[in-house]
Amino acid sequence: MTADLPLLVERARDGDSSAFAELTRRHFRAVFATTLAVLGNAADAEDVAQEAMLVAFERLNSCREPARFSGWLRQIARNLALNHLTARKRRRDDSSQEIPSREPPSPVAGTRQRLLAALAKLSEREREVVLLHDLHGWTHPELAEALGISEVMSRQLLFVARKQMRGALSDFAVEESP
Amino acid sequence: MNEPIDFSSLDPTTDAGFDQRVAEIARRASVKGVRPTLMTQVAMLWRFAVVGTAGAAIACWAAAAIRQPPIQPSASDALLAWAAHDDDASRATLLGSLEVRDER
Repeated sequence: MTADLPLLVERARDGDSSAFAELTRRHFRAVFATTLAVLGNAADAEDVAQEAMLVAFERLNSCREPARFSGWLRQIARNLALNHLTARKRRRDDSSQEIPSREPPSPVAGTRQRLLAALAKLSEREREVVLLHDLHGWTHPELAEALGISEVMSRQLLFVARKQMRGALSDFAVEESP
Repeated sequence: MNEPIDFSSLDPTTDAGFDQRVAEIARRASVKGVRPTLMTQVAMLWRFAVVGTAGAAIACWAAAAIRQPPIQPSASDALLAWAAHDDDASRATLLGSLEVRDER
């Protein structure tokens, strides 16, 4: 799957629209996992992930190693998410103007909210590891290389993150039961 | 205990609108295009500067050539012509070639 990545990146450099689409299909989930780990808000994370894809395509000539496109893209996504987080903190004073939804949450929306609330209890690095591993399917060697940590540390972070998430999710289940 | 967490409800790629999102990203990326690297930009500027300088030099040379006054006959030719004809026209030509004002 990754063998043809350099070729795909070259085609995108030449402005091939289908290559842009294929790269997006392959990498959007990993980018989303990264932005969600930083932002903790799924809607914002999707918007920033989309922006990250566009920024990456515009700067594609700066990607010196097309075989490592994924890590390069993830770094762009992380920086954009951090910028977004800073801007959001500045706007926090206006948060009183937000209108909370009165719609009862659907079962899927409820699950999403519980997952997001449980993710919020983790550190950013733990969120990144658990999302990239369990949502996107990265292996520990891939995680270790991308995050600049050892494989042992990656396993440790995943174990701790899952344990904390299960604890938080079971707490929510107890709170919601009559 | 260490089983994967089910994040499928958070997966944006399973949303109904994901294909539309992919198409939108590809469309916008195609419109924006891939920006050249800094080195490419410098090389392009350099080429522009070289071609521009050469063009300006050629233009200046052409302008100077157009504005150049008609070639005056040399003083010796004018002297010979005056000696042969001894008329006002050949005398004026001789004085002109010597850049002397006719005070006659």
